[in-house]
Formats: sequence, structure tokens, C-alpha cells
Amino acid sequence: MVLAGFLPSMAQAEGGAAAFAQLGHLLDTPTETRLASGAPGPGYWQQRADYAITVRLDDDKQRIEGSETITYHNKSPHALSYLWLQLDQNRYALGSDAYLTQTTSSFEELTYRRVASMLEQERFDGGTRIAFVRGEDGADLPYVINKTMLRIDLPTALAAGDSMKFSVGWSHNIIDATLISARGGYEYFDADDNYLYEIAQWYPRVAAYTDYQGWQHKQFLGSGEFTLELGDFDLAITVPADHIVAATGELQNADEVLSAEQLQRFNAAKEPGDQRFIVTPEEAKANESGRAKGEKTWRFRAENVRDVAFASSRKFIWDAQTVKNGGRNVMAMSFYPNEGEPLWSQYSTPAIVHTMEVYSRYTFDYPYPVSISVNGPVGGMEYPMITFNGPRPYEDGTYWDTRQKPGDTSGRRNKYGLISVIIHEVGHNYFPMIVNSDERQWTWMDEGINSFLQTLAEHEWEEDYPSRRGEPEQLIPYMISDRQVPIMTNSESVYQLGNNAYGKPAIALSILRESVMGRDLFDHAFREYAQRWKFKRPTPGDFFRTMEDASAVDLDWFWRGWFYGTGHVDVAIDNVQLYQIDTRNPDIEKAWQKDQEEAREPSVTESRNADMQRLVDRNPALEDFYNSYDEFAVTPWDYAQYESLKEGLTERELALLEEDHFFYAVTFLNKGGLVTPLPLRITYADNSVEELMIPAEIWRRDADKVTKVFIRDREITQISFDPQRRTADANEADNDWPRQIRPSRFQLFKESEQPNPMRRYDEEAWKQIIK
Amino acid sequence: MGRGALLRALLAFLLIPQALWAHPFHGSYAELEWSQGGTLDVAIKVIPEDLERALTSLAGTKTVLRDTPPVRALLVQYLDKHFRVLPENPSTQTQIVGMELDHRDTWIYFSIPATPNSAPRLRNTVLMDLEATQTNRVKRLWLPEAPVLVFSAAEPERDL
Repeated sequence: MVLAGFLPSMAQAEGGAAAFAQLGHLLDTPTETRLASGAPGPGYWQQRADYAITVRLDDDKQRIEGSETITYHNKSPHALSYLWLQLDQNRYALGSDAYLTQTTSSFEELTYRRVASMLEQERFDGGTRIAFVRGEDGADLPYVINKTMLRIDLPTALAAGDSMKFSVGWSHNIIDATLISARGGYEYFDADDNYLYEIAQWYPRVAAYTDYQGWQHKQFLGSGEFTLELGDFDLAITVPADHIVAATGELQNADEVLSAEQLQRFNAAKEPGDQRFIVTPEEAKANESGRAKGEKTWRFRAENVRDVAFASSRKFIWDAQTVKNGGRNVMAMSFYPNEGEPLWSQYSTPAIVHTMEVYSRYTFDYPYPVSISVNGPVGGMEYPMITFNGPRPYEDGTYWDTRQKPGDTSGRRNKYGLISVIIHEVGHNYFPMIVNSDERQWTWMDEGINSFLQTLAEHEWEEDYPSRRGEPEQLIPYMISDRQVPIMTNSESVYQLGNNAYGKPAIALSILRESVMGRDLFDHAFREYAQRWKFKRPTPGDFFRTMEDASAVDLDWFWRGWFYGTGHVDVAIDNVQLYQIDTRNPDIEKAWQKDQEEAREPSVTESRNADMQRLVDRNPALEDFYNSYDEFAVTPWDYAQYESLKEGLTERELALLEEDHFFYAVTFLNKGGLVTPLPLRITYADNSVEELMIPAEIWRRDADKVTKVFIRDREITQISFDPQRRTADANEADNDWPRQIRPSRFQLFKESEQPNPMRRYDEEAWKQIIK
Repeated sequence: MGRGALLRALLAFLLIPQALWAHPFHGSYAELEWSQGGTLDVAIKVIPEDLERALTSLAGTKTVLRDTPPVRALLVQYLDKHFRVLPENPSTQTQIVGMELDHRDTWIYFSIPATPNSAPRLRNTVLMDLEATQTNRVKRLWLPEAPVLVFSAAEPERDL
């Protein structure tokens, strides 16, 4: 085949091999514990710890005292001469590593709250006081406290396969969570002189002992939340008699702690049906002014959980709805003060139900009997079966919704904030409470995966739900910033935590699902991962391997780029060249050459000389053959040449010469460094449009620059890379051929004649102010 | 801030119920471009509840983020302190051009009298007064190939 021109070289072997190298040594060597397929192996083991906990909440001193008996099961093949427990409350002890390593910006620029918080850190008498550590025989066991960890030295090593019982007594003051950002604490309501408690990471908990790390030995500095062993819990919580308690587990003695009317409602709410109050807003309001003298003990049992938390207050409204999930009844419940109304009774429990319905579809059935959402001082935090969620309406009960109806001028903000945080925190039941990844090591394994599912659940809540991290383009400002660490960074060292450990992995998985693997392959592999590792302890390699193993898609390039790297997607269409077959037919080719010549724009000089009287015009004697020669005229010699050519060609070659095709050589530059599929939109002269997805493997030999030839039978008028913004491409300005002019956001805003949504609905109030 | 001022500040704080952090996304993003009229035009995206908290703290009274003259005045006061082009011209002030208030993306548009002639630096401590881990990203539209600058407590000032 003869082309008019020569195609540029398709690719050069540089960069591509590195981008597509297999992960190899970056992953742990497969063993019979963790297989190369990403599944738990026949040798898989994990420890187990069962707890019986008795605790008393002191509402006068904001303090808890408790004791626990732990039955520790050594399922490992190793003898253990000591056990480690976590004392997370020691993070709040004076002089803790968390405080000592805390940094801040200029003091002059701190808000009052930040200053008050710093003062509170200096004042608060935090940390766990250990009263005793005893063996099953009642004898003291020696122990050593190393900041947020406590080591129990065993008189005799605990043999592989053996179990042992020991007891710990402890106490700690409860932190004011309105002053110090924390995962648990109290909130004081000055108007009615009441406290609301959210108690978490509160009892000495056995640290994880694993096949991949041994004892989990990372101190608690605040970011890496926790990882623990699964077990069964019996929990006895003693509180003022007029408190309502929510806790991980099923309430065992409702008849002892609830009034007759509450008990009747509670029992009715256990049946599948509509959402209903167990404690009404009016009853909770009335309860605020009461002060019971006695105490009651609420008993809960939770099976196969890795932690327990609880909340307690006399301010709680309590509503519930029982739904079916995977054939079992699950009681979705919300506990909140009247300050949460009217948002909470409308949205909290429905958000719990919705989360379980959507998440279960992508993973496994929700395995617990209850799922709880509590409103209090903690902005958002998760524990098995129970979550703490902070958003409330303004004090006048209004909240913000930019899509409010015309005429409704109430200021509404927190509706979507509340729904989203509940979806997120309830979603954590799946990751990492059940798929028990190690939060002290890898924040993204729970926060990133959960944020990905959160977005799917938000999309199913209502059309155009304002998800904050649902679309790849929302991640671009982070991806192109100059201070980044890879996703595969330890939880305590992550820089820009929200974007790194939540946003980036969530968007990465979304891109994987929508643009790399496709929904069917992704959903199957993702569900396989969840099923394989529920109630087990996966590492990143188990996730990476399972996603590949279950889909037959080599994703090492994707993990390498998105999880081990800090590059970003920025693809440019650098050049487009059109080639057409030279038919050698002089009738066709000379006519085409003539058209090209006539279409050529004259130069300025040619234009200005157009009317010039030249010498040959004045003196025709100077003209000869070449003055009247038509270079585009077909001559006998041309026909002879053409016939000669045809005689030397086969029939197939002759047919090819008659093909009428356009050859477009499109050069793509990878300016961001992260290799990516190329979603393309090709527009033709007849206005028809073709959508095309080129796999990322186009970069496998040269990750910097590739040229792709598109052979079409129609003229192309435009080629656009990623018009649906699905790759997080950083710079749309170079995504089109020919180039499209895109004004800046500021220019767009200034030039816009359209009022923003608030002004549209509130014109009477604001039109005098804003022009 | 002297001792007296600090005490007054704390007293003011104690009177204001504070919302608490409910997300880990302590970041903002701004696009900058020089205008023909001698200003640096800024479009900055923030999390609205964070900005509302900052304005509440600045005002000493509960402030709802709405596009009203009092909120604009507070915003000017806040931005003059936390989004500064250096060296500064003390006689100039930030001009609010407009706002787009939405739960997903809240954008504030403003202009700062400044020119690129004096090798300017930017001090961007927006919302760092609320969260120690706040990071602010800034894209310079006149340098489309340059990386986005990140401002943090450890690095609040950078060359533009």
C-alpha cells in the first residue's frame, strides 16, 4: 500500500514497561495463609477475644469505671508469652505522643475554638487508670504500660490453640467532645443542664495479632483508628435511671429498663413495618427536666463484632424501623435529642435502612440484628452496629437545601450532610467492622472503599444527589497538587487525609468500575472480595489480587499508578494528521491537487499584488509554454504512468488503490504521568458521533506519547478525549481537536447573566444588593 | 494578640455553641488569574459548613453562610486576613464579586488589587484557623502546566 506521506513511528519503548510492570515485590509473598489469588488460604487463622464488660457511667463527674473479663483464644500456630492491649484513652493523657507531636499554624490565626481546645488539652485529666490486671485465678498479672499500649506478661506462654481468661479493671474521665475533636465524649446542654454521652474506644481492648505483622504495635496518634479481634460481648451499662442507652448489640433486658409503654412500642417495633417512635420527642423533652435518683443497668449482647460502643442521655428521642435484610430482621434505630429535629426523625432511620439495602447488594447480607445512628457531639464515627453522626439543623429548626422550593426562604443546610454522614458511618459496618482491615496501617482500605460505596448509595437516594466525591473531576485539584503521598502510606503519615485516603481511592474504584473493568466484571470481583474476607482480616494485596483473580483483568498498572504513585491523568491530543491513499489515478489525484491549491489562502503579498500590471501583461512576447501551462491538467504521459503502475499490481493491490478512506494519525501525550484508558468521542462531517474506549494498555510500550491511526470512511471534524470527564483528566483545554476555548471559572461567573439558585428563589430579598 | 484580647476572645467563644468537624476533607481549592484591571481574580471552593464556622468565630455570633451584605463584609474581613498577596498594599481591600452556595461545591469569587510585576507571594491560611491539617490548593491559570501549589500550616506562604 502506498500512502501519501509516512506514518510516524507508533511508539517508543520507554516508560511503558515501568508503568505496566507487575507489582511483584510490592506485595507480600503468597502463602498458604494468604493465597496468590487473593483469597484466605487453608492455613488462614485469626485470633479471637470474647468480653464480659461491666461499666458504670458517672453523670455527675463525667467519668466511667469498669471491669472486664476477656477470654482470649490463641488460634495462631504460635505460643504467646505476652499479650498487648490498646489503651486508646491514653491519647488524651497529658504529655501523650498525640499531643506532643501535634503541630499548628500561626497562633495569631487560630479561632477561639482552637485556642480553647488547646487549653482544654492542657487541663483535661485524660487517660486510662488501670485498677488491676488479674488472671483467672484472681492473682495479679504483671503488666507494662507503653503509652497507648499495655503488655501483660504471662506466667506461662499461651500455647497455640489454647485459650485463657483474665480480667482488667479501669476508669477514665470522659472528654468534652465539643472542645476537643474526638471519636467519643460528652456534650453539655446548658439550656437544660443535661449531658449526652457517646462512649467509644473506652475499654482496654486486646490488640490484633496477625500473620502479616505479629502484634499490632503502632501507637494511637489519632488518625489510624483501630484494628481488633472479633469476638462476642456481654455488656452491662449502669446509668442514671432516666437515661436512654444505645449500644452495640441486642438489648437483653428491655423489660427492666423501659417503661411499660416504651416496652410495648419497642416490642411492636421489632416487627417489620413502618418507622415508629419508642421515645417520642415530647417524652424526651419532658425527660430533660427530670432527675432520677436511682440507676439502671442496660444489658446488651453482641456476637462476632470487633468492638463495642454506646451512647447515653436522658435527652434521647428513639425511633426504630425493622426491615428484612437477607432473610433476617434488622432493627434500624436512631437516638437523638430534640436539637436534632426536624431532620433526624425524617432522615436518620431511612438513611440506615437505605445504606444496608444498597451495601448488601454489593457485598453480603447485613449480619447483625441492629443498626444504630446516634446524634451527639461527634461529627461522624463508626463502631459495630452503632454510629455517631453530628449534623443538626440550626437552632430555629431550619436547615439548608439549595433546591428548596420557590417561596421557601428558610436557611437549610444540613440535610445532605446528615444523610451522607449516616450512609458513610453505617456503611463502615461492612468496611472495616466486618471486612476487618487494619485501620492503623491502611486508612484507605476502609475509608476509601466505604466512600466508594457511599457514593453508590447516594446516587440511589435521589436524582442529582449532591455527592461531594462522586465524580472523578472532583478529585482533580488534589491530583495535580504538588504535595502528595501515595495512597499506600501509613495512616498516621498520610498528608491531606480526606483526599488521600477517602477521595482518591473512592474515585479510583469508580474509574475502575466505569471505565476500566466495566460494571459487571467489577461488581463480581468486588463482591468476591467482600465475601472472601467478611469476618476476616484482608491486606491490600488480598484486595488487589482478588480484583484481578475474579475478573481476569491485569490491573497491576492501575494499582501501581493510583495506589503506589502520585501522578495524575492529563492526556493531550497533541497532533492529528490526515492521510489518504494516493490512487495514482491522474484524473483523481490531479483534480484533488487542484482543489487543494484553490483552497489555499493567498498570502498577504499575493493578495495585495492581485491587480498589479506585470511586465508580461504589457509585453506578451515574453510569454512561452510555461506561462499557459496547466500543471493540473491530465496528460497522456500521466495516463501511461498510471497504466504502467497498474500492470505491476495484483488484483488485491488494485482494489486497495480504489478504497476511499481517511487515515487519521492522532498523537496523544501523557502529560500527567498516570496511564489511563482513552475514552474518545469522534464527530464526523455528517454530524454523526462515535464513542470509543481505548484500553490503558495503549501506553504499555511508551507511557509518554502514542500515535493511533483511525481509519474511517468519513471525514472527521472533531476528536475529543474524555468528554464525559470520567478519567479525572486535569486539563480539559488540550482534550479536543481542533482546540476548544474554555473560559476560566471566574470569567464564567462574571459573564453569567443567570442568578444563582438562592437569588432565583429569593429575589425580593436580594435583588437590591446583588447586580 | 495580647492577654486581654485573648481573654475576650475566649469569652466570646464560650458564648457560641460550636459545630464540630464532621468530615476529614480539610481543604480548599482556588483558581487565580491576573486581570487587565490590576487585580488578582480568585475563584475559591470551600466546604460551606467550614466557612460558616470560621465566619461565626470571626463574628462572635452565629453566622449563616448566605449572600448578604453582612456576610460579605465578614468575608472581606476574613479574606483580608487569610488570603493575602504579598507585598501588600495596605490601602487596598478584597472585593467580593459573588458566591455560588451549594452543599456540594461552594465557590466564592473575589478580586484583590495586585499585579504580577513585583514577584508576589501568596499567604493562604484559609480555614487553617479551624483545622491544623487544613491544606489549600491554588492553581495559577497563567501557568497551565505548573503544579497546583499546596499551602499548609507548615508552608502558608509560597511564590506565585
